[in-house]
Amino acid sequence: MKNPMVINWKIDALSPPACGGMKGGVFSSYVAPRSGTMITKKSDRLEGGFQPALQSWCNASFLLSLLTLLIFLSCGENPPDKAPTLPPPVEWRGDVYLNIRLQTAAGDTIAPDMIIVVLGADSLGYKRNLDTLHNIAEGNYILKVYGWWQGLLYRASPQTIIVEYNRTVTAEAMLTRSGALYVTVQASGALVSEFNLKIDSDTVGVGGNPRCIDGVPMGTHKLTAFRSENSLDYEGWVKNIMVNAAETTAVTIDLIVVAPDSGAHSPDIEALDADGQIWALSDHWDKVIYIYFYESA
Amino acid sequence: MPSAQTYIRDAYPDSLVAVCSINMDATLDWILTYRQQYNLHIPLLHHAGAAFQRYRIGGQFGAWPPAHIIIDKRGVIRWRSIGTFSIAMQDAARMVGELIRE
Repeated sequence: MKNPMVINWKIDALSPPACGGMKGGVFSSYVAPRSGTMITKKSDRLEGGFQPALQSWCNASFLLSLLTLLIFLSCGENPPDKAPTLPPPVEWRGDVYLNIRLQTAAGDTIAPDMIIVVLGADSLGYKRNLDTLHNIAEGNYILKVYGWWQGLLYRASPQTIIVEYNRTVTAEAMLTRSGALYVTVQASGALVSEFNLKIDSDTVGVGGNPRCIDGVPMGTHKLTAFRSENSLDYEGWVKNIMVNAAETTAVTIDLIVVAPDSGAHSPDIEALDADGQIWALSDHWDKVIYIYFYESA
Repeated sequence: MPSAQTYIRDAYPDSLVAVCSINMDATLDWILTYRQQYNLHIPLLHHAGAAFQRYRIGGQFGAWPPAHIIIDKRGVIRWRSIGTFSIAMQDAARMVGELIRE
């Protein structure tokens, strides 16, 4: 007797138009089995089945609390541990205009078509010269530029460029056949804190130890390192240091005490000769040198 | 000075020996006249007071010029003598020859 009724309810519940009142059908389907209210006719369920359900206060309050719980949960969608969504970060960007020149081995200055650009830590690969790099984030960058010309590699000394918002900074560089030197200076086997350096006849200046000197022309060079400590002069030199283009050569120089006495390293001399040229004793340190000091008066 | 040019500069190849003379007080005109007078072709450095200081040559150091200094191929001073007749140029030339063969 019960089975046909159950089947009818399910059909009514799934097809609202046949029920005439969806709520009535649904409520009835829950209420009837639990409350045990005898519903003998289909007409009772459609017309008056809703009334017995409302009379069951337990079920009504239960559904109300369930509805309240659902509303509560739907209102609190953001758990407290979820990070709030921020607008996308604003990046200030500028442009870099590449104006690169190349000094050929023959001495001519040309503008290469393609260059290799390293901006900061990023290698940008081949770029067209006299072109503009767009959308570079603001900041200070170390720019390194390399170029090829007739099968030879050229490079420029690294330079710092400052990229600013909405501006175009011009990066100018001269590519030459030059390399770098990595100079370490020690005295009695221990590293000194700083030293002064001379490459051939050009004084580089005082700096930390070890030190990287960039833009050294390709070829053989003589390095002289010197410093003063506790009123003693130290000096050291190495010669025939080969510097290749776009390569770094490591050099270690040993300092020894310089004094004008026999048995000590000779102090360097730099003075003008009668023709107005600078004559440096350190340019002749691989020779036997005879010096004659005299007075004219 | 002419003897240094004759006995040392002209006696050994340019790649092995360097000779120079250093003056502190002479004018350039005096140097040019001196060079022309003795037909000198070695470097004649002038106004080199710093070099005199570094080598401790001068009245304030008790070392009156002239002075002769010979430096070997490693840059170490091997001979230093003060005074006009402190060393004969032939002896200096022989010493230079020994240092070249070292």
